[in-house]
Amino acid sequence: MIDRIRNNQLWQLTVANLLEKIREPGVLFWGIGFPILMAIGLGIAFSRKPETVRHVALISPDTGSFAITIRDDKLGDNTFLMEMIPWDQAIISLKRGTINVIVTPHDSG
Amino acid sequence: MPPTPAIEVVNVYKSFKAVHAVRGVSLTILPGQFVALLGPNGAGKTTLVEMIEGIQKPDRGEIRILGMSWKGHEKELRRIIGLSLQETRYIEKLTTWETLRLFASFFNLGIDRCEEMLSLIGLEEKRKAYTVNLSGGQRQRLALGIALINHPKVLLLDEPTTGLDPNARREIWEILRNLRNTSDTSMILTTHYMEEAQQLCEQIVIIDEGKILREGTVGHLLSEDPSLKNLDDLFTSLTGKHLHD
Repeated sequence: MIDRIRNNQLWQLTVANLLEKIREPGVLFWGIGFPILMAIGLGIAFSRKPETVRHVALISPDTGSFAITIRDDKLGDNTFLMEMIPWDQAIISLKRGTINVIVTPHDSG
Repeated sequence: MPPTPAIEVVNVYKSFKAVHAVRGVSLTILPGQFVALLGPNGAGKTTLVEMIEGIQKPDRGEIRILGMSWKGHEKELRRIIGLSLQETRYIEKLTTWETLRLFASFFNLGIDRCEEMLSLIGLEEKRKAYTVNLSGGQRQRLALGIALINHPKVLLLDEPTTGLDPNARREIWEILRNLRNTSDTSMILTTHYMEEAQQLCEQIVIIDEGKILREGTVGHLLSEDPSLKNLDDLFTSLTGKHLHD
């Protein structure tokens, strides 16, 4: 029975193809090793979630600062660094690019 | 009743666009007969042999091997012919033994036949050598081993010794002489070596520009003109060319 399998042409063709691949280091590396290494490398590179920091000027007569972080599994973390400053200073900071956005208190009146 | 010819080629033509490679060739080879197709490069030898091998179809005419044509008897014919082409490429990282084993499996043959062939072609010492590491002569001997592995009734060898050194050539001749003495296999050998044709074949067919110019035994061909010393002379007198052209 074993001899019949070994003399079978499909078996011999399969063995020949397998041996050809195993015995060729280049084929082994580029065919098997390299794709695995690439998958690991790219996996590591893109596994970190992005963190976005935004500088926000909060118009207020008071001074001081605080941070708000919004966590999201898909979009990553968004941190808003809130700085309480007067309007004039906020406009100058916006022009200089040191803040991204100005938030003014809602005038309910 | 005469025996069925091993190979019968009847008025065969083959063209490749404007090139008329074979032009009305007829040939009969009897069982056990070794025949040399002798001619220069481009004479039509390979085309004729490839048509006999079933690799190419003739435009016109008929080819029968042991009474069977390629149309309708392909499976049977594949089992009874052995062939070696001008150039053989192997799977480089398979050993000589594994290569023989692979080809033996195509005919449901086992290791006994592989051992026989390895011994016949004298490559026992190279059993574990990768085919890529074999010399030119050893590669040709392996090709011959593969051609003979299925006990072929008809053996077709296309320039089996071209490019080999004299030693390697003689080794191939020895294998073929043994075959002639021990089997009823018929053989067509294409060559442009006159000595090879004389050494191995009783029947010589001289071919050029797709046509058979002369055929017969060496003695018969040379007796036509007492001034002819060898087949080269005969060929030159027939065509004005040399065999190695």
